[in-house]
Amino acid sequence: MAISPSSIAPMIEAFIKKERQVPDNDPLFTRDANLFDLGFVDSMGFIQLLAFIESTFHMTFDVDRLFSPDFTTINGITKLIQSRLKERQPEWQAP
Amino acid sequence: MWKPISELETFLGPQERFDALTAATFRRFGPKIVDFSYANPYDGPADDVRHALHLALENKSDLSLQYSPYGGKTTTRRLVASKLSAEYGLPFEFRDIIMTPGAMAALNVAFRTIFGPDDEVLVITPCWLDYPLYLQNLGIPFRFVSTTEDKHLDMPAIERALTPKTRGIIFSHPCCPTGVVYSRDEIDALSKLLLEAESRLNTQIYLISDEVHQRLIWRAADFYSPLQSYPRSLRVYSFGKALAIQGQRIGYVAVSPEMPERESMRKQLERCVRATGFCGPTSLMQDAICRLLDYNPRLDLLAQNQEAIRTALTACGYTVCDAPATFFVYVKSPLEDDFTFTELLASHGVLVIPSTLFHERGYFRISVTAKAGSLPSGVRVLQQVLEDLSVYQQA
Repeated sequence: MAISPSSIAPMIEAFIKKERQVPDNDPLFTRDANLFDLGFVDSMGFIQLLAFIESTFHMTFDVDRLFSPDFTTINGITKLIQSRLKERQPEWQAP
Repeated sequence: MWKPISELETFLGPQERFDALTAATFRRFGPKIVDFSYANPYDGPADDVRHALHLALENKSDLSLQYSPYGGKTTTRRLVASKLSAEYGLPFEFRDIIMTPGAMAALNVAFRTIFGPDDEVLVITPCWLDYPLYLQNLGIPFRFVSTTEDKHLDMPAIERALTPKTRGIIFSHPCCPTGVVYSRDEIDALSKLLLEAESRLNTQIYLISDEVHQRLIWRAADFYSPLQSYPRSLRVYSFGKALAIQGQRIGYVAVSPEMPERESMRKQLERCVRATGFCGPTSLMQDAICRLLDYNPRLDLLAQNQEAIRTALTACGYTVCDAPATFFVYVKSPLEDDFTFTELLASHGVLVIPSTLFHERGYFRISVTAKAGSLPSGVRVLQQVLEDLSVYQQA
């Protein structure tokens, strides 16, 4: 499946919404919300999210990245994934 | 201090005496019994509720039935917090919600977390039967404070009971056993009283509001929680009542987002769940209730039965407590000894609970959850017994 730069955030968002039962009208669920502080992801949810990223984008992250502040928000995770995809395919442009 | 269970006789004995009466009455009358005692839903849960339980069981996720964190599954806590935020207009976070196996566990967790042997807790009576039992079991001193004649909060009595040792106050709202819903003015007046007392006595007073019947307000009445008025409030809740799945034991204790010690309170509550060893709810029920947070029970039949019983009992001479909520009708006993009157009714095949179990003398409680069709016969017995008593007393 081709992945465009702009489709990453919606894919992560949709995954979390479905797996973690986030209602459509939840005002706290934004792409800059801290997923852990607000309870959208916990340790079990994190395992699910990593498995989703691995199977969808075919990539893993080292421990430093997993504990970085970027890995707490949808936008941050998207940025990390985009960065890895760019390394893999230099012609791939982030939006 | 902690006592052997055998030394809790004062608060264990009356219910055991009543349960013995119940067992004997069931044996004597069998299916003809009219069971107005405990709030067991004889008509069972609605199909929607059963369906949600099925869906939770069919969840094939590998981790769906595994351990959940102390405090409960994050998703469940978040959804409950979101629901409460919308209802109360307060910014609940998931950590404000501590999931427990029902309200009984929530009460124990709250009591054990907040109070100690040097504190005193005010228990508003009549009250749900086991608040004093739990407090005594945990070695926490307490003091009963009666409500007014119409079963509303008695502010002067509460004020008189407050001392430098007062650390908490507990009541159910809507009230079990009376069905009374405290008004906004009452709650605000209590809040003002407690805030003044905190300042005057240089203490911290926690208000525990047991709101397990919140969804069972069957006649128009505004529900206003102490959490909306008093910062040091905690809400205890059980999903069992409104969903008619009392035996499935799922509930929570919620910390007011306004509480000054919010962060430490929710942390200590989580730790208490661990320390007790038995206050963590099942994963299955935590999953199931996520699908039922917006479920509203049908109250039309309850309202109809409530009004019918109240009207009939009042017409034949009973004094009935005016109230708009819960399954219960609270009635003045024609005999001063409510237990004796309960035994008299039981001898005719009707079970009600004597108010002694609710730490007040002279009343009895009817639960309008009996089998459909048994209400008229129950009312007939109540009427006949009152007439017989009247004739006997005149003679």
